[in-house]
Amino acid sequence: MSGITFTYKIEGGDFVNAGKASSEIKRTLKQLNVAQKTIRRVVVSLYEAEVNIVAHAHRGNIDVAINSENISIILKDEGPGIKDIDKAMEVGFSTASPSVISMGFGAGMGLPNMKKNSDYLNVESEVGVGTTVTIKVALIE
Amino acid sequence: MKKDSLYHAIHIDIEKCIGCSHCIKVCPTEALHIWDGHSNLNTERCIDCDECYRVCPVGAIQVEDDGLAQIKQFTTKVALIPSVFMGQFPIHVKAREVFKAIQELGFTYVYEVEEGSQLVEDLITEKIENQEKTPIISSFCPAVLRLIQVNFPQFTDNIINLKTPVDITATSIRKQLKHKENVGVFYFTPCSAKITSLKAPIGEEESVLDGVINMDSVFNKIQATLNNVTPTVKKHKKEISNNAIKPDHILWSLTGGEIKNLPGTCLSIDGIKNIISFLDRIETRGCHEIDFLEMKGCDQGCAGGILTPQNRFITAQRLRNRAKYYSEYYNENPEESPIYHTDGISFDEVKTLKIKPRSIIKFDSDPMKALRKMEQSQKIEKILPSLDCGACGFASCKALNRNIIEGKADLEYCFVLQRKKEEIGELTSKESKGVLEKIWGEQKFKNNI
Repeated sequence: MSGITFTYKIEGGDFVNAGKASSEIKRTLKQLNVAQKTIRRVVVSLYEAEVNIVAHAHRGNIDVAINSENISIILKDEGPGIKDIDKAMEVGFSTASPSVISMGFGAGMGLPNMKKNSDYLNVESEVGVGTTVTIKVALIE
Repeated sequence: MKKDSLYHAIHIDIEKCIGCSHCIKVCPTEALHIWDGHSNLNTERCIDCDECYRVCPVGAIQVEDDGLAQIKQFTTKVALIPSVFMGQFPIHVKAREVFKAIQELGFTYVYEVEEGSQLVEDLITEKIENQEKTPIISSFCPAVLRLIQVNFPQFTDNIINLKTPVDITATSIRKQLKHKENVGVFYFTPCSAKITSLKAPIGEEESVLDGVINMDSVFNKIQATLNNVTPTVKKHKKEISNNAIKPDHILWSLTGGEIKNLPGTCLSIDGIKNIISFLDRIETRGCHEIDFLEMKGCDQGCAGGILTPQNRFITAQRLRNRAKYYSEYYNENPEESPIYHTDGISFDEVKTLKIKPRSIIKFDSDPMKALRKMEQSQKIEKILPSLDCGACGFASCKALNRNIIEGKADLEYCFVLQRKKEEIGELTSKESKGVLEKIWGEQKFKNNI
């Protein structure tokens, strides 16, 4: 199927640029005339995932593929990994450092928000190696 | 007034325009491009922010001016002046003298716009306290409303459905003068956006105003009248010229003026570029901590409007002085307090229609077609040089790209690609020159080196 792809590189700890990928994808979806509610869901999920890499990992890649039916986002990072994925999915659970929390992040809403706003969410992780998050959102209702 | 939603008070005088491209570079919505040797305005994209007017070196960007003659068709002629108009005159010029000079121009009554601010403040306060969808966005600046319509459609729902002090005061004046014959209300405008608002209203079927007087054109006439008046001797006793305005509301049209007395967390932003970057940010990251957002397209708010003759910082300072003076007056005369004529006006009389999105960002309404165009656009992006030089007549490589997709431009408009095409024999240098002549006009290519 035809479609378009985007790739972004994310640096761990780079809070200055956190959100750039989300902002560009948001613009693309606006250009594609996707419904505003759907754009909102994609952007919330992607932004949370992007910030997770910045807050927790050393570095990561975001691969975005958009076709006429859905958007699929794969965020693959090199980092500490998640010890207990089920626990991380709980609202309010956070392992963010105090300095990250002081910047307004790390409220323990990241994965729950992604789950809430996406049609498909898969988290695979290996402690000490990294995490891969896959998010899919249908673009047509 | 006839309703034409694509009307704009700004237009380009092609006789004066030298096709220099200053304006296309500053337009925040890529509404301008050069063709045939002059600038052209895309009326669907223009948001009336007036940025182009500021940078034009030859005065080719002009603002429609209906002039003073328009008031003649009314028996009772009302001048509705915003406080920034008072800020055009030095402190020693009394408001009373300015009002008198306005009446000498033919107006029966003079009212001040900010009389309506109290009602707006009360209603916004109510909305903040009811915790409506946040952030609540001010409806004050028409350029900002149009920006949201075309670039940030998601936020149209956040715009407060409330008229501005101009319209509310005009409504109040009509009530006060209901026994008068044939009343015409004319607003003294600091910018083109308010003229467009009158002639192509958004959020209302028909404007409550009868016309607009451009501040710059009327300023000279009033100044001439004032020059003939001996300055009033300073009295020891303070006096104020309008007891229907709360001191703080004199600052309403300046940056921060709307939020001064509001509860909750409020933020004010001025300058159209700052507003765009802020809206872009909260569109991605959300904005839960802010209750009310005041946004004014011009730096320093309306004091920076293009039709205000005086320096914006001086104007703002004069208004702060006037507000201070008013405040001192009420402190020294505790038995007095402002009398609001808007008291009997209900919310239903001052609410607006929902402002509808009108996206100019989308490639196509049909997502399938939009996707195909985007694929094409990605390919073009790789070919274009990312110079943003403007030699193609568009503001940036991105703008040229979009216009190629829309079928309004060709790859050959890019002079870097022209060189490449000449090299591989797809274009002769004469053809290249021909393309550039179409964009920039033959005149620019006539002089010998």
